[in-house]
Amino acid sequence: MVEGHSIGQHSVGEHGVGQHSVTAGRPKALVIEDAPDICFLLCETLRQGGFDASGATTAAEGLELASQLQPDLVTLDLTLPDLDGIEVCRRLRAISNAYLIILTARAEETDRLIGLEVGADDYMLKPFSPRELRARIGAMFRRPRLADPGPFAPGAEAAAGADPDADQLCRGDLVLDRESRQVTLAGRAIPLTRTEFDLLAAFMSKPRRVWERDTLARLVWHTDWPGGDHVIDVHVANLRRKLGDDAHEGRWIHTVRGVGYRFGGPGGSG
Amino acid sequence: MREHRHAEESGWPGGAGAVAALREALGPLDGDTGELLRDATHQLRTPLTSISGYVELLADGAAGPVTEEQALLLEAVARNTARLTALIDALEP
Repeated sequence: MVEGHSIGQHSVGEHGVGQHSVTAGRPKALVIEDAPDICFLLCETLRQGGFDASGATTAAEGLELASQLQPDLVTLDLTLPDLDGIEVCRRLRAISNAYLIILTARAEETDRLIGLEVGADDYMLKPFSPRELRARIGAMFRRPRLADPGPFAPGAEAAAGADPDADQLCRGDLVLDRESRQVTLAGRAIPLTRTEFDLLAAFMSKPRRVWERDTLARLVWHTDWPGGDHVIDVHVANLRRKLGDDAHEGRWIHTVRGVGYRFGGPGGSG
Repeated sequence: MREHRHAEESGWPGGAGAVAALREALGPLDGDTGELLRDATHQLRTPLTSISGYVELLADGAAGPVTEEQALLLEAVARNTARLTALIDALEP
């Protein structure tokens, strides 16, 4: 992750998007760009535009951060060292509904068209003007995302009435109480282990988020990944059974192939 | 010379007009030559992005207030970076 200090102190300029933010506070931006100088330039440009910007210099790091941060905006370079940018674009769309701008030195029309077809919202050729980039982003954020924003739309959780920090989380007839660490389904108590409870609390706190297995592992064990993927899979399978679902799939917890899990259920996205 | 003037009239800035005319005269470039030119223009755009972008940030005061004299110097860098960009655009296969 590119951690850069900002250049000087900035105020949101005329093209800033702060007032158009779709989430509380500063909107989040993720820059996926392999050239460190350009990565920092983009982060700085976006910070000036009112974003809380983070950078990644590989596709793997970018996809991981996209999953963790759930950014409102992603800028993506098509030429990355570990994965083709178009494939990154596809994978990003599987886990995020962020506004996506492709920034690339490839001038070919086919790249532009494929990029837009697989889910990019806009396309800018390098060298780009930071002012123009901010202006385009400002214009994008002024437009409604979609009539039906879909399950991964920024702010969708708030729209669905879910407060991720609430003591009690409710989805349909499933209720999780953090203080008493009790879970009930249609009024019936569901006995869960500590790990199962923590997993369910994570799922219910962000019902539209796609969780990668290692992220879940860090969250429930507060440490680095203690084993293979099957460790989380076993706990999720047990959780599914206790919620009355099939161990491999169900209405509450959905498998996102190649990534991890997503919470669904009544009133959720699945 | 006629082609040069034609390209200039078509809107290419500075010396890019002549390059555009030469490039046009070469016609479509396939195979290795086209690939080489694509790679070269791609590689040239990357450092240009940093140069032009940071110059714009500096000119906009991102690193502190800019004096009138400094602004003029930055303007010269920006102007010539734009010329280089136009030359690269003109070279694209």
